[in-house]
Amino acid sequence: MKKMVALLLAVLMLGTLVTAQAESMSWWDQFLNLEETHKNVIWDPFTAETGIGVEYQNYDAASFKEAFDLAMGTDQGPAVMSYAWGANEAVAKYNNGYFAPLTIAKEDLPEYVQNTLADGYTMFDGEVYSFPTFAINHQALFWYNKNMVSEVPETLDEMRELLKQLTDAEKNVYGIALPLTDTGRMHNIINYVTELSGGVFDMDYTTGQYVFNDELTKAVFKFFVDIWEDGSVHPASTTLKTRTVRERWANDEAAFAIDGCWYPGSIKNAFGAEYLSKLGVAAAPVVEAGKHGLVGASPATGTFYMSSFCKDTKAGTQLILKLLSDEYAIALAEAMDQPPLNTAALANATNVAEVYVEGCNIMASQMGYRPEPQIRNAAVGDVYTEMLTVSPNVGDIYVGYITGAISDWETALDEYNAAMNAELDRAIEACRSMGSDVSREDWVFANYVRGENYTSEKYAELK
Amino acid sequence: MGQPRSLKRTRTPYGWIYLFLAPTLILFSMYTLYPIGATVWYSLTNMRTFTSRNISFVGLANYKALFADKQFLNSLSVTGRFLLLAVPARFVLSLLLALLLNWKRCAGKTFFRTMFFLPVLTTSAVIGVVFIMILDPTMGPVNIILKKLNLTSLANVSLLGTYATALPTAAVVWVWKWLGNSLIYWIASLQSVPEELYEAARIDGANSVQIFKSIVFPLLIPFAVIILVLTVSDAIRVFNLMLTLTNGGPFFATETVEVFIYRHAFQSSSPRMAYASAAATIFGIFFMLIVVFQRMVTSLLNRRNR
Repeated sequence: MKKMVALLLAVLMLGTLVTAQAESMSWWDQFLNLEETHKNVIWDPFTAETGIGVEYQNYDAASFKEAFDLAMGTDQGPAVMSYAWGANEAVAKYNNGYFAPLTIAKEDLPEYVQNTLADGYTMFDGEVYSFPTFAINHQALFWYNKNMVSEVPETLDEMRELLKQLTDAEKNVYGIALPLTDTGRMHNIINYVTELSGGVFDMDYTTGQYVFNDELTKAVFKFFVDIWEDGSVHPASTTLKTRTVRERWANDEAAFAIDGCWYPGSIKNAFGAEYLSKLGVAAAPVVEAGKHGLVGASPATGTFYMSSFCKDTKAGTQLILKLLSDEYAIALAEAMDQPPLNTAALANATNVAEVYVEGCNIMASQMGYRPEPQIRNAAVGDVYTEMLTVSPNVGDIYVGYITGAISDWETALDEYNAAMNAELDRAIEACRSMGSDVSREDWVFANYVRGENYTSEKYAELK
Repeated sequence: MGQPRSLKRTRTPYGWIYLFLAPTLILFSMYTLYPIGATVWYSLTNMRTFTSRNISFVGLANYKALFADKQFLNSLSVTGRFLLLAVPARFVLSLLLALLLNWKRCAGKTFFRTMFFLPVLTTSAVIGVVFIMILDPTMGPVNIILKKLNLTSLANVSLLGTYATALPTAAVVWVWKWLGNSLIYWIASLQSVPEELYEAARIDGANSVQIFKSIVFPLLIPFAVIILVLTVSDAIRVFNLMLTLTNGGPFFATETVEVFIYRHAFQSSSPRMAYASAAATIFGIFFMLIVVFQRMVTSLLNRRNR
């Protein structure tokens, strides 16, 4: 009997030891390109220092949100997670209890990081929750196959002609492939091209009204309609997502793809470095020659947050702070994913394809900051939390039209625009009835000039 | 004072029964009753996500909003049209195949039964991914065959990516995947018809059509009701295939109620758990009505047979 008890105790102790050795933190993100970088520069050194392993799980951006929401309901979420939502949704995610604060004060962070922190994005109730590791960027660079394209035109009309010339359905070659199952991405692409043509992405901050149906948006929308009707868009596009578009491009089935500056890194990781030799990049064509606009970013959200599932916030903070090392910034540039916040790293990085640097430079020249109502009035965050998704969005309408579900896309854009404005009004009213001091005036910035960078001094001018 | 012996003897077995039933009752409560109760409760609140703070009771507001939501009505319509397309096709095709494979002179019966049953064993997610490739409008084998046949007007058509064809195409894939299941039910039903009845009918000079019409078909009716209800039940739960095949697109053309619920609960950037729960409750009631209908028809047939 004694032997049996001793054996049982030994088994239990062994089990405890195994469990203790297996202590780990889970890390979820949508940056497949960075897996190797994270392993070498973040996770392995962290494990060596603390004895805590890191378990990695990758999702594409759309699946990430689903997986995380499911995990929230079953208490199986990650300790550390990337941020996969829109910039203005950070408050809603905070209010819904997604994040845990870092155990570090703002003053203890490097100055270039402190400058990026903003209430409602990376700070809540005076505590630091995260920081950006990437420079602000957008998703509408035009990546092309240099074997097929020698020069990218400046206007959408010229681009339409070029795409027609490039298309040869008999040989299964098309001008462009679009990620049309990800209608959220398509919504962004159409609105970014509109903004780069001098229009607005979604809201006109001089009036505080959503604008999805002005002439510029319709001109850009019509370009995408025209290229579909010309037969220049890969016919499989209605079943493609961002990652599968890259496959069609790599397989020479499409001359162009629209994506962010992480495109070279994605291509290299998925298909091999040899594919980079045929990759070229250009700024998005615009509606009118010579008339260009800036993409206005809201204050940056954090790239990685510690989730409310994190059991050891001290270790979680230690893990996240590794993202601030110079080594990581250089590795980030070399991984050719999103451009690092520490831009000096780009110059120090070796083994970086020229086309990536070119893409980052184009992006940097196109980015600025737009006014952010939440900085002016923190109560705006309540409205963002209250707002519901309005569907169909611009991307849905595009897919609806080209697949035969919608016959009049202009009316559909008008309806979407009206529905977005109505939803904002409803959310404001709902928040006011709960005591929030917020009004539509918070979205109106009289001193904003479209296409110009809206700096922190501009907020002071309004007071 | 002790109880009489006979009473003790009759009580003891029931005590053991409850003990043995306990695991089932506990698990059923945890994984069926509790989720149903929680879903109904969520549907009466303004809950956004599982971790929402400040949840309050809103009564039937979510139900009212649902019936004013064009996309929910669309998902009901898509579910209904899917049932109309897929259920009769699977029901009739599997019966015809069963008659063929139950025919004595049919060669390779076992081989064909296995072949038709193989897709049933394959997971829906795999089938979804494979069919996206098969139906690819440029590189897919279907497109290549159409081109070889000089059917160029049909070539390069994205069957899953076109509004008018996406739902019928999804229905065809679903019927192909589940055909083997109904086939097995039908074969089992056909084999329950006594051989003597066939022999007697042949002696009386009946031909194959007459035998089927006057003997086999009436005997199959009780089985047919069950097979029909099981087929409807399967068709309503088409979620995983639809999600991998089309994700409800293009432009909500294949968004069944289940996909609608999933989109609002988990896919949306501003999730609405309460709203999705209300849709799930309505869907559950619809499902229960089907079961009640099946019970009514079955008991009616049983009474007639008596």
